[in-house]
Amino acid sequence: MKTSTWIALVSISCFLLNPDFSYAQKSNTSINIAYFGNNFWNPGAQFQVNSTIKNNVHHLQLSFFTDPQSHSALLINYGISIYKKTFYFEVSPLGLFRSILRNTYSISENGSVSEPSNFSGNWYYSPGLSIGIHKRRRFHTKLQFQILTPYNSTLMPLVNWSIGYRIYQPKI
Amino acid sequence: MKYIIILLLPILFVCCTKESSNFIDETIHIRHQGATMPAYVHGNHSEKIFIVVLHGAGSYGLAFRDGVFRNQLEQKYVVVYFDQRAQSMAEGNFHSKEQLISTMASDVDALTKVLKKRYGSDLKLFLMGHSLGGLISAESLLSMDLQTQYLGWINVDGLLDVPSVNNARQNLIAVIGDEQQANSSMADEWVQLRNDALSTEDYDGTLKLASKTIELLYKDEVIPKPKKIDKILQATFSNNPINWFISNFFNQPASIAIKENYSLLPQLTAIEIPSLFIYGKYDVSVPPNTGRTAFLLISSQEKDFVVFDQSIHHPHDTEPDKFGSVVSEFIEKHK
Repeated sequence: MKTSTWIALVSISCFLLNPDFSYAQKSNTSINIAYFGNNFWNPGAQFQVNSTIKNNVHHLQLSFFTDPQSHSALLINYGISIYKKTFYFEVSPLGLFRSILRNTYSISENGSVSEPSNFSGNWYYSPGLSIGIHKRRRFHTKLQFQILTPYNSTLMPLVNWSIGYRIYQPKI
Repeated sequence: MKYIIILLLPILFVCCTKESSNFIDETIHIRHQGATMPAYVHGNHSEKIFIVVLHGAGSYGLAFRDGVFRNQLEQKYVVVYFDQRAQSMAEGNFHSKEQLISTMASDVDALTKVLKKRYGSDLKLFLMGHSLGGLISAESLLSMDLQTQYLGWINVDGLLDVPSVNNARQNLIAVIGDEQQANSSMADEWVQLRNDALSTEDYDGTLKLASKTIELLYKDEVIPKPKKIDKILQATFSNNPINWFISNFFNQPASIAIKENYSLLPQLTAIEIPSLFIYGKYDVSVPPNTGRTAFLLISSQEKDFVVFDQSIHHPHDTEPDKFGSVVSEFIEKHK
């Protein structure tokens, strides 16, 4: 993994271990699940935890999708959500993207071919922005834009759409 | 829990792969020198004949998987559609664009090794390159010593000599202009085009004239206009259009070949395997004369040069039946 992906991974771990978050989890944490479509039609799922810490809504998302022709992917993102009346925005400066590639053969420098792997893939740092609409935070749909970098020699944008439902909200 | 099951069901359906006894229908990945490249492997493997297809500039492997490839060639042979380094769904992380063409040629060597490992060392391999893929296929045959691995080379509108291509385009536009002004209702436009072609020296200027030539050829109904909607649907649903567009935006091996004035003419005499050259008569991107020069240089004892009279740069789209029979005949002869 590259340095940038390690930084993102460590930051997310710190968030999870944060005592404030642990407290908030007990008091004001909701859980959402959603259909997650990469490019709309590559199907997947998203699991999201929202937690209010000092009046800020923090989110942690775990997403998965599969592009049937080529690859599957796992995404983890952390950031802040800003809710307005019916709209909301998510800023996720920390994110990791892991592609999962079936039937992958690696060729070494001396030209030998490895045995096939079904869980091979690449790590990318992937910050993102989302814009969505919600109904009392119970139902939501959003468009999510992410950047994968370093991808090939530069970067790759990613467009995802999700539609979901809040499955857990504690009674306060 | 029920929500999770509802969400996951469609994914499980999509993930199922199709397999039948004589047909291969799968995607494999080749991880080589910082890139991870998909190869889409489809077709009948009863005779273990594989055609490896290298796409051209700005294209992608699955762009070929319609018409003649799907309906004719896949019925008899296995076709391997390869997304080359930094193109379409190829991913990974490599920093250097130095010697990109030769690295792409070494990727073909890597793909060949993987195909033999996965499907058996007794495969009968044919290498097909279209446009810039023609250059990469020739480079891989020459520099990676792949002539021992392949039974034949099929060069479709291959760009084998960059320095001569601009001049050849201008000449071809002038020749087409001469021919058409006698037969067309747009004689004035053809004359203008011919004169512009002979007076332009600029590379981009010639490309604009080439586009105009194609437009007029369609209007004169010399060439059947391909159904764009089919290609758009294919680019959208059998491929990831964002990946394709962005990869092509940031990584253009064709620009590198142009910048380096890449030419394989001096090395082509080393080609000895059976070779089939296919060029469109009206190909103003890679004119058939450039292919003919290369064709005369190769040392193959068994070689054919076939001109497609109703084609521009994609004879497999414009004359699919002829393309299918010419390619099949070549493979049957040399398998």
